[in-house]
Amino acid sequence: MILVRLRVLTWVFLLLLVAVDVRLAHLQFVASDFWRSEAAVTRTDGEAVAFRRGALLDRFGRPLAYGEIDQTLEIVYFDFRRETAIGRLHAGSKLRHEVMGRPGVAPRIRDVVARPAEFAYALLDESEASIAPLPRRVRDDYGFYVRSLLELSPDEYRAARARLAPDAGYRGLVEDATAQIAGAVLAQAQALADLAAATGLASGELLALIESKVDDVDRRIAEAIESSPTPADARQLLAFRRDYENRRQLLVRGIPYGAVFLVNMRPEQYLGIEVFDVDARRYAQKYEGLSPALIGWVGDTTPEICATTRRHELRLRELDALDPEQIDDETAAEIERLRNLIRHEDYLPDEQFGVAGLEAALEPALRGVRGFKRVTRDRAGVDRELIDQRPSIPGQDVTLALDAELQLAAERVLERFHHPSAIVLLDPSDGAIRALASYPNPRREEIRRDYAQLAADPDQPLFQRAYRMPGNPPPPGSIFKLIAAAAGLEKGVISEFTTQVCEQLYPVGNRTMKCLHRHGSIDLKTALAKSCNIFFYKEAAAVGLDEMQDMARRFGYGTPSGFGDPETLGLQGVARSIGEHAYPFQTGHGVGFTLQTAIGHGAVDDITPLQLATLIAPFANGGSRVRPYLVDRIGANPAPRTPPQPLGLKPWTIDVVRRAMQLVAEPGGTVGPTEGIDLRPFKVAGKTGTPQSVENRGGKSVEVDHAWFAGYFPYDRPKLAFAIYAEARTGGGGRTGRPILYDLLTQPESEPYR
Amino acid sequence: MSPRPSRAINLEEFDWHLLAVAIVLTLIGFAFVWSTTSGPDDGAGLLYRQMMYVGAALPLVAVVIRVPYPFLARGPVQIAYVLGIAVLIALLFRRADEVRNTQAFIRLPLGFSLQPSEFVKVAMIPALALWLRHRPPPKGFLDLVMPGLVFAVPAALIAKQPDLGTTVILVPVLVAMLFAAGTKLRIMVTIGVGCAVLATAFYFSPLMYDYQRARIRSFFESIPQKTLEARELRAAGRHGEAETVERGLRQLKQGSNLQVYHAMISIGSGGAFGAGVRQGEHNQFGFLPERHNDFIFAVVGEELGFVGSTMVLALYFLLVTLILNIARRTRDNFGRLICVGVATMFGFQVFLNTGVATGILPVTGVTLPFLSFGGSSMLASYLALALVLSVGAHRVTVLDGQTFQKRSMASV
Repeated sequence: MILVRLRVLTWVFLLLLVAVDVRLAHLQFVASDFWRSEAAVTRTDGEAVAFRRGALLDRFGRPLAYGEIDQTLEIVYFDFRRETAIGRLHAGSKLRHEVMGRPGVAPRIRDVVARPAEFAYALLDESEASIAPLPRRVRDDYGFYVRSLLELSPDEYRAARARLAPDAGYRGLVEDATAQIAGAVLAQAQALADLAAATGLASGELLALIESKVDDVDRRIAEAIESSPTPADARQLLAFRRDYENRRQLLVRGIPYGAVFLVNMRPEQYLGIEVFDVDARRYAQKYEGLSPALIGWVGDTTPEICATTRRHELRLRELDALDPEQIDDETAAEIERLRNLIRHEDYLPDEQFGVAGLEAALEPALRGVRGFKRVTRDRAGVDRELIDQRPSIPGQDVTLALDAELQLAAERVLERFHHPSAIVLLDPSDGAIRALASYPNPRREEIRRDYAQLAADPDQPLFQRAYRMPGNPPPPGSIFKLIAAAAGLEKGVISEFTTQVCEQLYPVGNRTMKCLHRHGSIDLKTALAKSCNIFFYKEAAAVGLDEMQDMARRFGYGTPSGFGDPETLGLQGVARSIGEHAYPFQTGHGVGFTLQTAIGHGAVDDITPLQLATLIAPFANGGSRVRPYLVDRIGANPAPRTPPQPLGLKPWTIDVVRRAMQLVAEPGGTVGPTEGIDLRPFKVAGKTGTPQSVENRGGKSVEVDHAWFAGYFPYDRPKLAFAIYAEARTGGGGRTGRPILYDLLTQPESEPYR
Repeated sequence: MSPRPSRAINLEEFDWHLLAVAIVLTLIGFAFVWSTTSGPDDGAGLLYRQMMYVGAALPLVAVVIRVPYPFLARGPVQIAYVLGIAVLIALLFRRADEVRNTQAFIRLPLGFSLQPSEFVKVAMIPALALWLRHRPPPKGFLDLVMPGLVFAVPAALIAKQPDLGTTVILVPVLVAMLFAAGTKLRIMVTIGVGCAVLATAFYFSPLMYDYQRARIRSFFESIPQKTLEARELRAAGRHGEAETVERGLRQLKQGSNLQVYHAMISIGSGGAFGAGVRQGEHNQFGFLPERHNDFIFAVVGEELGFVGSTMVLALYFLLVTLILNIARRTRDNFGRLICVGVATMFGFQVFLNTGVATGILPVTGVTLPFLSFGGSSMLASYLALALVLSVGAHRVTVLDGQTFQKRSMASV
């Protein structure tokens, strides 16, 4: 009988194992595909692939700014708060302080790290009775932090509380747990200190950064809760909260490889801390100082910019929740579009965008398209295998018309001159801007750091004089005589050989208008070279205001400079046209006004150096109006630009003025050789201007001179048109402009243009 | 007169096959413990430790099989049993760790720890055998009181730890040994029915928490089926119902079900032939918790597939059959009951462990003998095996009445 029983036992075991084997067969044959797909879902993850921001290049391809994929240290609130000892202890202690009104200051992460045992004990020691009356949400959170610190499941925690609370058992548990928690906190603090050291931060700094991000999320969630009191909002609130908690937040940009290594190799020690690839902007060291205000800079995306992303996300979630039947083609297309936007185009919180200057103006071109990759991840979140990806598309490289070296030379010259001033150099044949130098020229970091201070500086360093004039900018002064002369020549009231007599004084009505010198009998060319006012008074009387205005408009005076092919540059500095300027109440103005206009006052309004250089270009190129441009090519495509437009003047008009301009550097000309400075070898043609403006200096109105000097060189084969401006300079256009131009022309960088 | 044991090992009777099966299983265990030493929850060194445990277990086996097993009845079994219970009681007073479920361990130097319940489990078998060996088969319930006590004391202490898995193993061991001791079938059936009634009553009694009930219910729900159902409901536009199903699905993948969920993913993606040792992505990527220990069978399932896991199960069946074979050959009740007890222990441990990994049983936390990583489990398994081998190697002359008379006459 016993043998039968043993046989029965054998059969029982066989039966049991067969049962398991049948189940195995079901799992591994019938349902295998299902489980494989479940495995894939668990293991795969989608992630954005960073793009490289397009470079800014000068006309010779020298990189001024370029993009580089960089590693950033980021924090994910949810993981940090819920999975780490410090996060849990801090969150719990904070709740305890804020909601339960326990005494003491709000615990900071630093405090928690410094005295973990104290905080842990206080947190765990709260009695059930003091937790019970709290609102459910707080109670849940609090309970979560406590039991996760104790490493108990909800059931176990409940059981432990129920079983042990009345006697000293729970107290004993708390005491033991406290030591353990303190150990975990210290271990994590040590790991974070290692990371801080590898990142190049003080350890407290990293903790403070983490705290600020964590607090920020706490605050936002608290605000959201306050603003949605009805239970109907609860679900939305939950979604919002989850969304906020899972969002990654930037801690440190551009961390060294040591830190990346640390986080990737020991992910379990750095829960909630992650490393991402993000585009970072670099400015070539050599060209760092190259008009930062013009080149601009990038900044972290602001909440406002990310709001678009968020709107798209919300809308997508809304559409995703729709019944499949409700989704028509149009909705499907919208879902697809939104998904693409979110995945590839919308700004992410750790990305940067162009904040100022060309970086901002060219943002659409410079910004690339994010890629998307699907990878197999292990439990620790380490990528194991790439499943598929859509690579990122780098931003387009933008080639500027600028010559970086020439620009640096010009900036150097102005730096030596050390007074608010500007130099604009452009190719007169098509308006390509080769240099837009200004002084003062604050550094990128200065502008970002000391903006308020710079804005209050009387020198107005935030204004790049080359294209943006502060305050009450001067008119071009005598340089306008070129236009007046052209108007006269065109109308035929004067010719190359017209001669006038300058007696230094010229009575008009009850006023007497003046010239600087008594030039005596003077012809047109000399009058221009020496800048005789009387000649042009007399000429203007014959030409008339309308003709002069007309001519000015033909030259493009006062039309928007069209500066920057992207008109969106948002840079001020477009002169109001003289047409617009025409004082309505002065329609019947006297002849004096007309005469003043001829020498660049009167109806002539303010102008920027850039516009002035543009105005000069037709004289250099033989009579074609150009529009200045800064952006040469976007990617491989030439940027759209306006071709030079012939002014349609009589052939000799330009010719006569040109020959007059060539005399300006000759002896007797306003920038004639003197004090060892001789511009003749450089074949400079030009015209100076010394406009006066009235400024308020210490409560008194003072008339100040400004210096203008514009022209082109070399006059037999013009390569560059220039405009030099110096603010509030006694000494006028000639005496100020001559050394600046001379200095510039003797720089090695200007050699190719001589 | 007690049976006179032979002093030396009877090499002809020594069951080399049984030892070989155990060693093959151990080697397979090495392969999979090695397999689990890659990945993010890096267990480098686990294999060496496992080898060390086996290295410690084998001399123990050598010693135990040299001892004629009837000698065990003269003190060692009693001492081991009482000592085991004393340790379990001592552990009761380790108040602080109670909730953390670490009461089951005794910490040893060098980071080792001992799990006394594993050894008490083994010690209970000869203790029960000792009680049952010379008695007539239990005929009434009164005869069950003592064996019941021998079982109930360690079972209660282990359950208190709490180590549900080990406690659960003790029940079939008791039942099988009573069965083999020749207990009346009527009593066996009554016990079976009684257990079923008690279990049902417990399920519906307020003693059981709702969450526990939900957990048990969830075993009868299939994840693939529910997933399909939810998908179909969504397609039909019945979103409310779909949401309910999805909520249930989420529960099936949460908490204590999470381990089983990942184990089923591992096994399911193994298919017919598996991914190869150390190639199973799901466990290698660290998704499978306790993969070197309680869920090592899921690793086998993923890496060797259906064919390999079936072979492992077959090896276990062979192990159990060989042990029961020794029981059949042995005519001494003590040795036979030891064999039945050990065979049941191994058999049910395998069933419970693989049943959990494949999702047909609730999570209990039982190791897979010889395969799972763990010193206590390995030592206890080899100890039990050594008992059985000793029974096989030391044939005891058991005399029936006639022979007894003949012998006594001859000796006179």
